Amino acid sequence: MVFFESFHKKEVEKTPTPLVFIVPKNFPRPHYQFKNNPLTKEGFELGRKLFYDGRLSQDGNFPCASCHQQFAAFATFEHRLSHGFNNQFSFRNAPGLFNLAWQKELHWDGGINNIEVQPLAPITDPHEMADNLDDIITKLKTDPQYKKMFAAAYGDATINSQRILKALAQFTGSMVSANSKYDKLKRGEASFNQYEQTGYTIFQQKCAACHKEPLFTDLSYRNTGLAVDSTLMDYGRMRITGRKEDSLKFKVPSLRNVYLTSPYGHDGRYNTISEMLDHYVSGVIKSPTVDSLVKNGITLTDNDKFYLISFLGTLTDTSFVNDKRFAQPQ
Amino acid sequence: MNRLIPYHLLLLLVCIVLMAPTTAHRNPSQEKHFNLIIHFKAVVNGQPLVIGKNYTNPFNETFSVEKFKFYIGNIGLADLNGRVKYSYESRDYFLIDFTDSGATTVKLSFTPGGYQNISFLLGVDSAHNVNGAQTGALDPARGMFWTWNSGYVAAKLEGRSSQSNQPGHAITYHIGGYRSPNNVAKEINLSFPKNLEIRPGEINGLNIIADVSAWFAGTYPIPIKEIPTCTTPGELAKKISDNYMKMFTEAEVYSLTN
Repeated sequence: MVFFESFHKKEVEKTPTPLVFIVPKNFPRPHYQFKNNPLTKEGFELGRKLFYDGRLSQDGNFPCASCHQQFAAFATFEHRLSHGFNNQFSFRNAPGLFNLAWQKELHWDGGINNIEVQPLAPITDPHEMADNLDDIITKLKTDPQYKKMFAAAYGDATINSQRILKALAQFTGSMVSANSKYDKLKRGEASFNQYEQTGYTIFQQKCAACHKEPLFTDLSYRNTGLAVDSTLMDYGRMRITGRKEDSLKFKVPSLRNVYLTSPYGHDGRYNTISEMLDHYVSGVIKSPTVDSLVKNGITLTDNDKFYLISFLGTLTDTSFVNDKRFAQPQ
Repeated sequence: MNRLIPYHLLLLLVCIVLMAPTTAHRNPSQEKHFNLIIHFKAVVNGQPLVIGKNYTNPFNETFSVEKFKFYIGNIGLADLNGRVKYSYESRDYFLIDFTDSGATTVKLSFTPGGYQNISFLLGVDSAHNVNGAQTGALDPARGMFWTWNSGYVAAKLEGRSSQSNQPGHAITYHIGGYRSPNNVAKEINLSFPKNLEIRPGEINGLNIIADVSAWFAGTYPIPIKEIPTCTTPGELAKKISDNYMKMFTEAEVYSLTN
C-alpha cells in the first residue's frame, strides 16, 4: 500500500542529538570537519549499524567490520591481504582505522578524496564486498529498524546513497585514537621506562621525519625501496596521478597501534616490526623514485631495534580498541 | 447511493493523479512551473542517433553506440546586453542520458526577456568532485563516479566496433578528471540563430544537437583502431574532452505556445 505510506508522514518525535568532535590536545586541526554532515548521536549509531552489517556485501559475509576489526585497531588481524567475496583477496593490506578525520586523502595511494565516498571502493570492488548501491538500498529498505534509524538521523525514512555514506562517515570519522601511553606522557599523566625513552630518542632521530608526531605520519607519499611484488604489480600513487615521479610511492602509514596492525607494508609483506626495520637497515632498493631519507638505509644496531620496538609499544591505545562506542551494536 | 458515487469518483481521480509514475531520477524541480524546455538530441554526422545502429566515423570506421551520457550544469542564458542570467534550478547538475528518453530534457524557468545565447558546464566542477556524498544527478548510484580514484565521469560513450581489439569489440570512453592540467570540464557557449524571447505565460523550446562524430576528431585524431578505450583521468581523457566539447553544433529556438 505505497499510496497510503507516502501520505502517512511519521512525526519525528525529537530532533537529532548533536555530538561534539573533540580534537585531542596537541593534534592539529582535522581536515574533515563534518561540514555538510553534522555529527549526531543518531547519525553515528546509524553509521555504526551499517559498518557492522553484512548486507552491505553481496553474499552477506563481508561487512566493513570483517576487514576492519576493532581488536586490531580496525585493521585485519594477522592478514597480509583481506578476505573478500568468493574466496578472493583484497589488492592491499587493510590499514587500521583511526584519526581518519586528519587524512586529506584515504587509501595507500591516496585515491579517495573525501571520507564520505571511501566506502564506495570496497563496496563495489568485486574482490571485496562485491555489491552495488542500488542493491544495498533495496536490502536496507526491507528492514523496519533501518527505516526508524534513518528517520531518527535525517527526519524521514528515505534511504539513499548519500545518507548511507554520510552516516558511515560520522562513525568512521569519529574514531579518534589519542590515549596511548605516549599520549599520556605528552599530557604529563605517565612516564616512559628507560627502554621506551631511549627508543623515543632514536625514533625522533631516525623515523620522525616521515612518521611525524602526533599523527605518526606526515601524510606524504614515499617510495621506501620495497621491491615490486610481481603477483600484484602495484605501483602505488602513480595509478592515481598518472605521473612517473609517483611510481612506487605509498602513503606513510600512521604508527599508532602498530603492535596491533601487523603485518606491515602496503601489501603486508612484513610479519613483524623487526622485519620492517631490517628492510630499512639493509633492504632498500634504489629505484629512480626512492625516497632520499631512506635511500642509503637507516643505521640501526640490534639494541636500537630493541629500544625502538619498546617505544612503538607506547603507541598502543587500549582504550580505543576497547571503546564500546565503536563496538558491534547489540 | 447517489451521493456516494461522486465521492468515490473523486477519490479514484485523486488516486490516479497521485500514482502517476515518477522516475526516481527526475529532479523535483521538473514538477514546478517552467517556461523553457531544453531538449538534447544526439546525431552522428547529422543522422539521428539510434542505439545499436551502425555509423561511420571520420576515419571510415564502422561503429555503434550503446551508451551516451554526460553531465551538464550551471545553465545560463545571456540577455541582449550579454549578461548571463541563471535561475535557481538552472544552477543544478543534470545527467543527460540518450538511452533514457526521460533524461534528455531539462525544464527550467527563466525571467521573461530576450536572450541571445546559452552557456553551461559540460562535466562536473572541481568543487563537486571533492565534496563527498551527493544526491540527485550527482548520486554515485548513477554509475558516473569512480570509486577507486574519487571523481566524476563527465561524459560516457560506449559502443562496439569491429576495429576495436577489446573484449567484445567494445569502445569504452569514460572521460573524467578534475586535477589540473587534465581537468576535463568544459564551458560551452551556443549562440541562438534568432533571439529567444521568453514571455509570461508562454513556453519556449530549445533543441541542442550533440554530434557523436566529434569524439573521434574534434581536435585530435582518436581512431577506434588505435584508441578503443579511455577509462582513467589524464592526458588522453583531456584530449578526448577537447574533442567532444565541439560536439554541440547548434541551438534551435522555437515556441511551444500557439
